[in-house]
Amino acid sequence: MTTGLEATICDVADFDPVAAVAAAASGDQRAWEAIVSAYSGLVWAVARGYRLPAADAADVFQGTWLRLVEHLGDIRDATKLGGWLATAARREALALLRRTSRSLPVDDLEAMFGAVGGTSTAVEDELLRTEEHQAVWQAFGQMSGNCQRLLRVVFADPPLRYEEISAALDMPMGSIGPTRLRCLATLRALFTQTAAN
Amino acid sequence: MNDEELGEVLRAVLAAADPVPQAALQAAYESIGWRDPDSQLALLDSDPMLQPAHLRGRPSRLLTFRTGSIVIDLEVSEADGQVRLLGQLDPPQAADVVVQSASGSRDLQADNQGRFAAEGLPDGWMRVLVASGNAEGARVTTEWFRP
Repeated sequence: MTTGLEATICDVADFDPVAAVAAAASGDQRAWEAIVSAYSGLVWAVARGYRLPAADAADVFQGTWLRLVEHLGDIRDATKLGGWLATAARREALALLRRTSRSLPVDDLEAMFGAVGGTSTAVEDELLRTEEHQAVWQAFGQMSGNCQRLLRVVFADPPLRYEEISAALDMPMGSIGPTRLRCLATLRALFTQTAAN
Repeated sequence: MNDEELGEVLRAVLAAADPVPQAALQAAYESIGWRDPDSQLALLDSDPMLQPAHLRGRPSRLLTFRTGSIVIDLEVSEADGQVRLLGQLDPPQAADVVVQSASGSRDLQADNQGRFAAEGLPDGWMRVLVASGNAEGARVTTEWFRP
């Protein structure tokens, strides 16, 4: 088995989800690794967007890929693979929230688990090379949950297409642009404040 | 910094400060090994919440998985980080049953009434394979589920 490194090195722009899904469905390990490499950032962004701790987010991440393996043979339109994965990850994240706090309906859970991340630890600070990056990370942590969730998906690594972002956030494409602008403006304001202190 | 530049800085910051954990990524790369195109997938059709079956731990759930040929009912409960499964096949039949999870497999046997049980399973994603001894002989696999 390869390590996945080769797939990571592959040019993401060359990634063809239709060919990759077809090959992976017949057991092609390289094609599968290319799929995971292309969308791991998306699946992680969705899981973390629900303010799940790392261990729970990893659980959602694992379940989402198991789900895809299970359904590789019945993906009808692989050009929408990113949307399919985002939806699967969202469903697994909400299922996990329901399992761990049973009596609350989903709307309350979404409100309760609204905001993600935020306070920076020494480890994270060490990972962020520059003061500017640390200030952006701190500013990000002070934003609302909705903005954090949106920006995580919009700026996932590797980058996503617009329709994948729309599916990941369960938002119509038309409202992503304005919300993105608003959230970036908030981030900029918080960042400027942090940098000034 | 304009918005595009700020966005790209944020992309780099998120990737550095909150990357996908290496172990999770490695498990994802390896999950293609669970591909099982020759078995019939039994889909989860209900997940009602049961009354708490234990005084401690989480309440148990009854999961029903269905294909055209067989129904697999699983009562799943968890206590002290370990999972217990009680299974019922419908129609009732003796069968080889395997519980699969990332941390290993457990071979079980369903009795003539189609009942099987397993205790002390590690808490995590799992699925149940049923190879019935009947004439059709098709292997059935439940969807992955999380206790």
